[in-house]
Amino acid sequence: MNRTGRLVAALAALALSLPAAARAQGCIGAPVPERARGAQLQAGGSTVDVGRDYGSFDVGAAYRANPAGPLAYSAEYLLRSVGDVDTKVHTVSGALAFRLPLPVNLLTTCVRSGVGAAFLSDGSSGSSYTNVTIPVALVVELPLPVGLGRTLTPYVAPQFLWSTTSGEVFGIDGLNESDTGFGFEAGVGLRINRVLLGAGATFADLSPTLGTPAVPDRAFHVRAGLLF
Amino acid sequence: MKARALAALALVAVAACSDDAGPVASEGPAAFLPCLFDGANALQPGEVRQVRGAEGEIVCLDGGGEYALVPFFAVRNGRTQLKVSAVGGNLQSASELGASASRGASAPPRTGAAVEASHALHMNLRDRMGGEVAKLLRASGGSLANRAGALGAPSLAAASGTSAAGAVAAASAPVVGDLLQLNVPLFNGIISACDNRNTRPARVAAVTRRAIIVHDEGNPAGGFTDAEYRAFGEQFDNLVFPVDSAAFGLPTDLDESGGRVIVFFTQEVNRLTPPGSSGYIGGFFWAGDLFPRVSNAGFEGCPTSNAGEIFYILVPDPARGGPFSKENVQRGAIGTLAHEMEHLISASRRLYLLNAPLEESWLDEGLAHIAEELVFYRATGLQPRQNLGLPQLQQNVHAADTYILDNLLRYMTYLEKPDSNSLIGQDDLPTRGAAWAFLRYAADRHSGPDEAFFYNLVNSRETGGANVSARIGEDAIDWMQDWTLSVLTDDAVSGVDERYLQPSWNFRSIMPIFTTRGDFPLRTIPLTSAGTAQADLLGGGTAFFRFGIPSGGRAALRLSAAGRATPETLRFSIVRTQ
Repeated sequence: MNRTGRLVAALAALALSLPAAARAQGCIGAPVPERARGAQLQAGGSTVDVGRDYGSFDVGAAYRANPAGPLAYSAEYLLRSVGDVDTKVHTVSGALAFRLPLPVNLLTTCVRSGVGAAFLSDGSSGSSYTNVTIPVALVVELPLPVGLGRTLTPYVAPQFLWSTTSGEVFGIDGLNESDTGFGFEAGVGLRINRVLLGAGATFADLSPTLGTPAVPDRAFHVRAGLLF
Repeated sequence: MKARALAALALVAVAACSDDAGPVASEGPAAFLPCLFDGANALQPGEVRQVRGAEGEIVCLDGGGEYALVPFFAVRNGRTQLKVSAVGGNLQSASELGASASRGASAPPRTGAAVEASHALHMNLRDRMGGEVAKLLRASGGSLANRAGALGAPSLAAASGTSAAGAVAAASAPVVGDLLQLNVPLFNGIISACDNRNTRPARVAAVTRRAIIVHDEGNPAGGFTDAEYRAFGEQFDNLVFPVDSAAFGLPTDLDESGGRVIVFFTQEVNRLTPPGSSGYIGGFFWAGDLFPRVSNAGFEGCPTSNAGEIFYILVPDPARGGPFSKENVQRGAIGTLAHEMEHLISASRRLYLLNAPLEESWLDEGLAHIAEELVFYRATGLQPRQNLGLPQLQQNVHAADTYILDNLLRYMTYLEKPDSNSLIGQDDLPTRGAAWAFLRYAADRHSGPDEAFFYNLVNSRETGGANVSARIGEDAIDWMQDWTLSVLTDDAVSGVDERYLQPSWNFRSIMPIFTTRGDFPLRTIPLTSAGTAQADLLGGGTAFFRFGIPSGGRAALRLSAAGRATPETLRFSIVRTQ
């Protein structure tokens, strides 16, 4: 067995040896241990495609909880400043993840869903609309102990998205459009004792006419927080 | 999910089967979304932003104020048409732009309705005349290089100079009392004017240094006396001929009459205006008279040609009255002579000196109306680039009435319907009014004296837009677009760049006296958030969409052409008017 093979075998043995109750669940965006909760601040940027691409700067906070059992949940708020005029979009979202009882203990696999809503209200243009996005994701993560009290958790999450937007734009009613599409999320979480760090990127393929969806076309965020 | 790859493939397949120029512009309020995030789109009052083609599909504006959106169809074919649509979001109505009339000003002697009626008559005549000359030129085709030689040197001597002070050959001019047989061309659209003889017995009523004034023996009683005919000849000598020849060059002297032009006052011109018409035709020039009667090496023959330089002018018919009254005919005759003289100079020099095609009608007519304006300046002592307004006209009522009124009324017909006319459109009165105003604008903008500018336009081997481009050293279409905006902004919007001004005339001051409401007659189209504003633009044509943006607000405009993406030839100017 070569060196790589030995490493994989060792990781597999480690994963198989971890009791399920002790595993963190990163399916909710950060490796929060079971029976723990955490809060994070996050910042990043995204690209919003509304026929033309506009960049945004995002800041926000997240609350993530991993109670006993297969369920975990999270809630997030992001303030997205979009485009050259920093048009403000408020985004709130909640997610519920269910850890699948698969026999392979090396990986954690969850089904995650929830709802995200983006609100835009711009008085100067007479625009006001709401976007609601519902993602359904299959999250696969690989928790890796990297020292005492330290866990590194890379994850990927292909997802199916349904999104709808309604409201008015420049004083004209009738913005009422829906779309479905695929998205993809990948990232990594790092827990160092009570400190939670992470970074992630998302990609979504939704119609440009939906305005600023709760899941933007391309986004990258970094996160830092604490367990409590 | 939207299968985008499949959709893209489908689009390619559709595009491969279609002649359409571009994708359909997206519909609905979602199309305005980019303007929610677009920045730095504020204009200051008087500031102009120009976009073209796809840039115009969505335009974002910030900062409140009032605006005009001015599309311009930048093609040189004035008969091409394009439907332009504009929709806007977060707009409000704009106020009326510019100064109002000074009420109480004297009413114009003629109304726009009369001009419109004249328009129909003149178009009909011009079309038929143009067809006849085109046939002659086609028949003469390929032998342009031989034309000068075909006529012989003596007949060209007068035209080869550029100064009105050139010597007048003693030559074979008739004398007063001579009887002549002159043909008046008939344009009935059935028989060629060259084959349809219409000889009129005529008598020489006056001979001056530059004119041979001829009276049709069949003219109605109560017409001009020989003394009055002589006065016309002297005005032609002292005013029309010097002004026109200085600006455009000397005409040929094909009939070797000592450099004189025959001015034929004939009731045949009156007959071109059917009874009951509210307009009338004041006179005409026909290039067929510059062709020989018998074909030669350079020219197809025209058997009915008078083979010389001649105009046909309206005569008084007191029994018919109205525009045929002696007073009215007298008023209009000199302006008509100045106009027709330009046509004569242009046609004769192009045929015999330049070996060049005849000028396009819009430019030829525009130059002929410039001739009338130049005569006005000479008669009044006024100058171009003085922003002449109603006060100056009121101080020169007679000259204004005689020389410039018709130009103003023609321009008014353009202002009333700019979105269905074009300065390079078919030969009608709005086109003529616009072409005159554009040429005046171009002369004012062009560096150098007016005379050189106009002379070079007439004495060119090029025609139309290419001719103008060569004279100004830029693409004429660009200047035409700037001019269309100046139609709106001149004397109405402060702070605009000089290229959006018309330095010679303050039309905002003058035009209201011609309208019943006493306002500037420029038609503008309101653009509101409620609906779509549309205009059918001709090549070189424009429209004026007006809108406002709430104070501190942001607005979005979406533009399309015939329901499709805006082509590169569709340009837009946006000006903040206040």
